[in-house]
Amino acid sequence: MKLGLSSAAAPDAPLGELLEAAARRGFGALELREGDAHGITPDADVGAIGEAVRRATAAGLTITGYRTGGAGHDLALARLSYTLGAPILLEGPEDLAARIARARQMRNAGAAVAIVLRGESVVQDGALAAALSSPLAWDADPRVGPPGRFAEALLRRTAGALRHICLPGGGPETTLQDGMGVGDLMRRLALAGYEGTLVLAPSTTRYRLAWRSWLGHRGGGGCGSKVAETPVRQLTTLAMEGGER
Amino acid sequence: MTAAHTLDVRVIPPREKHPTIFDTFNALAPGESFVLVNDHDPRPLRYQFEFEHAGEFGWEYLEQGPSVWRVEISRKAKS
Repeated sequence: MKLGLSSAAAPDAPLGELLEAAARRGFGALELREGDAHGITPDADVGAIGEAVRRATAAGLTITGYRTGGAGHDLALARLSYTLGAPILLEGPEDLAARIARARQMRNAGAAVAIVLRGESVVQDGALAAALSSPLAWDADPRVGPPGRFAEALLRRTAGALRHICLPGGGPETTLQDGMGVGDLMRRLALAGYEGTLVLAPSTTRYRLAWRSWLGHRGGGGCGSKVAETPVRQLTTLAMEGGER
Repeated sequence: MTAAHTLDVRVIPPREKHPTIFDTFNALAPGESFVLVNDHDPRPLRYQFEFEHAGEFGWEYLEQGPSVWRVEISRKAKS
C-alpha cells in the first residue's frame, strides 16, 4: 500500500510547492483534483502534462489519479489519463450507472478510469461496478460508518477492483480521529493485502490552514512515542481562522 | 515466509497505533510478516515487542529515514 496526498490538502499550491510538501512529509503518491492550483487541466498541453509527470517522478512521487466530477470533456480526460499514466477518478454528481457508462466510453478511448464510491451503499455499488469490470476508488469517510467494516466487505465483494482509497482526515486531523476506526481500517487493509493507494485529504475546508501549516513542517505524530505536533486546541484555532466551506 | 503486507501507521491516531500494530501481529500465522511504515524510528515499539513477545518476532529494517522508516515484523515459525 502506498500512502499519498490529495491536492485538496493544498488547493492553492502550485505543482512545485505541492510536490515539495508531499515529498517532505514522506508521501509516495499524489492525487490531483481538478480545479486546484496545480495547473493540470483536462485540456492542458501534452508537454506540460509530461513535464508534471517528470517533476513528480524526480520528487519520488507517483501521480496516482486525477479526480473530476466534471462532464463534457471526456476525450480530453482520456488523453490526460494516458499522458499522466494515471486513472481518471470519476466522482458524481452523475449517478452510478451514468458514470459506469462514461467510464466505459473513456476506456474505449484509451483511458484508465476508476469509479469513485462513497456513502452507505458503497459495498453494493462497488459489487455492481466491479461486476461490470470497472476499477474502483473509495472515499472512506469515517463519519459514514466504521471504515474497516466497509473495507472488509468491499475488498471481499470487488475481487481486487479496489485500487484507490481516499481517507478524509489524517495529517493534522489525526488527533481528532480517535475512536473513528482509522486504525481498524489500516489493520484490515494490511491483513487483506491491499496493494493500492491510500491518499489523505482534508475532511472539510475548515482545516485548510491547519493542513497548510502541517505540510510546511517536517516530522509528525509518532508511533505512540511522540505527540502530534499540532495539538487539538491549536487545530481548532486554525480551523476557525480558515472558515467553513 | 509469505509476502509481507503493509501497515502504514502514519495516519492512525496516536492512541490507536500500538494496539493496531499488536492486533495485526497477533493475526499473523507463524512465518507471516507485515511491513510497518512510520515517520520516525519505532524503537520504543521494538522494546515493547521484546517485553511482550520475546522470542516470537522478527524485526528487520528495510528503510531507515530520514522521512520514512519501514520495518518488516514477522511472527517466527515454531521450531
